[in-house]
Amino acid sequence: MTGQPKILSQRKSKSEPRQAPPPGERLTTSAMIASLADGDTPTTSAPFGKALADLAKTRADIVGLSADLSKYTDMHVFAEAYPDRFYQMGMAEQVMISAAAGLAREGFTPFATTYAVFASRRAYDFICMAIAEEQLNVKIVCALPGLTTGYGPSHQATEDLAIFRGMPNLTIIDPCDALDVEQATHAIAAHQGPTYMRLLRGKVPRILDRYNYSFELGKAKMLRDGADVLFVSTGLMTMRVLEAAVTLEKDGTRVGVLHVPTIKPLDTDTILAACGKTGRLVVTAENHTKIGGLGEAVASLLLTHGVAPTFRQIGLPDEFLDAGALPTLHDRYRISTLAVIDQVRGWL
Amino acid sequence: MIDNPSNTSLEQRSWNIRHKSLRMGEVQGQGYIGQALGISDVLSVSYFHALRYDAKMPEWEGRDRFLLSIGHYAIALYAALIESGFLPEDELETYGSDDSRLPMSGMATYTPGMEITGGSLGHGLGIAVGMALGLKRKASDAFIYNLMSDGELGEGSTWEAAMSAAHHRLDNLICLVDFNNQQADGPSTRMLSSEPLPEKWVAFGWHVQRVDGNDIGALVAAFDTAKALAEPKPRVIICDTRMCKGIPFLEEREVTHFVRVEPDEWAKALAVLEEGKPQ
Repeated sequence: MTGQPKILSQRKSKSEPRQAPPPGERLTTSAMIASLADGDTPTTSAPFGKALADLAKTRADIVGLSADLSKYTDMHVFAEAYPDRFYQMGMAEQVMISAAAGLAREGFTPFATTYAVFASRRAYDFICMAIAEEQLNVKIVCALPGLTTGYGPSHQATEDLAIFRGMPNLTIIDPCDALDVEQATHAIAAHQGPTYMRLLRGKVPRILDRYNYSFELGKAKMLRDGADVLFVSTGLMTMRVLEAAVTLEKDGTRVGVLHVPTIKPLDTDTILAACGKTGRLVVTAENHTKIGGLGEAVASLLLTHGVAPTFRQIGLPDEFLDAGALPTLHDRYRISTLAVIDQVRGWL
Repeated sequence: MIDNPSNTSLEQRSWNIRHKSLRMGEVQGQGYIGQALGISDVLSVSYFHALRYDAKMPEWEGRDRFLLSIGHYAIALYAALIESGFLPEDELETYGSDDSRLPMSGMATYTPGMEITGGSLGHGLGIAVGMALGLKRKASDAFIYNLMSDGELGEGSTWEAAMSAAHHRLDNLICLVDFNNQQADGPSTRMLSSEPLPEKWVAFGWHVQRVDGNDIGALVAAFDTAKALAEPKPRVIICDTRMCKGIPFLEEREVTHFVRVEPDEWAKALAVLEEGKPQ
C-alpha cells in the first residue's frame, strides 16, 4: 500500500458551510453502515446472526432480544430462524437490558443487541446493577463500535470500552473480522457470565483465516512476529495493522502483530512477554478513544511490571468526532491503514 | 408446595413484621423504619395470603417470585422473611452490621429469599418483565410480584417496563406500588407528581386497583382479584400507605423519607406497639 493518508483540512467550525463541488464532481458522503472491506477483501455476511442461529440448534436456553435494531445488529437472522425465541423490546434499551437480566434469572441465556452508544451510555446502570453485580449470564452484543459510522457522535461509540472496563465482572470482547465474530459468539455462549461484545455486522471482512488463528476467550494471539515494531491491537485495527505491516516490511521494518480481542480480562502474560522483548517499538492500536481503552490498559500493565519499551498509541482523539464518509474520517482521525503506516514511519 | 396454612391472623403477622423491623432499627440505631411500618400490611398479605413458596427451599422452581425494587425497604422484607421462615430470628441482631447477610439495602447475593438486588430505583419492574417472560417460556403458573415505590414512578425505565409488560401480555406479573407520598426531598406528589396515577396505568394497558395499603381486608380482596383476573394483561395494585403506621408518635412527627428516631425512642416505639398487639 502506498500514498499518503488523505487528511482533509479541518474546518474552523462544524457549522462553516462546505463549498459545493465543481460541476460534474461529487463530494464524499456519509453512510450509516459503511463497509469496512476493501474491494478485494473476502467477506462473510452477518457472521454474528448466523453463528447465533447455528448455536441455537443445540442450545434451547438461548434467546434473543433487540431494542428495535435487529436488522442492524444481524439479530434478524436468529429472529427469522427462531421467531418464538426472539423478543422485540422496542426502542427501550433500559427495559431490554433489565428483561435480559430477568430471563437470565429464569435460566435462559439472553443475547441482547443494540448500538454500542445506547448500551454504554443509556443502559449502563442497568447492565451494572441488574446484570454484572450478580454475574448473570447475559450477552450484550453491540454494533457501531468506535468509529464505524459517519453519523456523528450520536452513533459513534468512541468511549464504550472505557465505560465498560470499569465495570466489575464484565468480560469485554472486540473482534477483528468475521472469523473472530463467529468464534467469539460460540465462545461467549459457552462462557458463564456477563459479556459485552463489540460487533462488526453486515458484510464483514474475513482475513484472520490466513494466520492459523482461532479465537480463545481471554487470550491474545501473535499473528506475525518481527523484531522492530510490535503492534498490540484489537478489533478492526488488527486488520489495519496487518495491512500496514506488509508495507512497513517493504521499507525493511520487521513488524509483529499481537491481536488482543479480549479487552477484559486482559491476557497479561502474553502481552508482557511480547512487549518485554527488548528493542521493539510497541504500538497499541484500537478503534476507540486513546483514553481508557486497550492502549492505556497495556501502558498500565507494562509500567506496573517494570517493562518499559518505547511506547506509542494509535487511537481516536479525545473529541466528539465529525460526521462524514468513513474512509475520510478514518484518515482524518489516523486509524486508516495509510495513517497507521504514516505514524509508525514517523516514530521509527 | 406450601400454601401457608396457619392459625395466625394476618393482623398478627403484620404486627410481628412491625415488631421485627423495630428491633432491627434498634440494633442499628437507624433504618428506613417509616417505610417498614407503612408497608408491613402489604408484606403480611403477600407472604401469608398471596404468595406460594417454600421457606426451606428459597430457590424452589415453583415459587412465586417477590422482587424488592426498593432496596432500602430491606429492613421490612427481612422482617417478613424471618416471620415466614426464610431466615432465623436471631439473625435480625446482625441487621446492617459488618459481614451480615442483612445489609441496609437489599441484595440478592446476600440474602436467601431476596430475589434481586434493588436500590438503584427503577430497576425492579424491568427485571420483573424478563422473569415473567421467562416463566411463560417455561409454562410455569407462578407469579412475579414487584414491590416498588411512588418515587420510582419518576424513573423513565418504570414506564418502559410498564409498556413492555402490557405489550407482552404479562398476566403473570403483579406490581405493587407503595404510595406513601414521601421521597428523599419531600412529598412525591410535590417532587414529580405521578397523578392521575390509576389513569396512567390504565392507559399503559394494565389492570389497576387502588386500595388503602394499611387495610388488610382491602389488600386481601385486591390480591385475590389480581391473581384471579382472566384478562391477559399485567396487574397493578396501588397501595396508599401511611409512613410509620402503628406508632402514633412517629406517625405524627414531621414526616420525611428518613425518619429520625432518637436512641431512647426505639424502646418507646416497641412499648407503644406492644400496647396495640392483636389479641
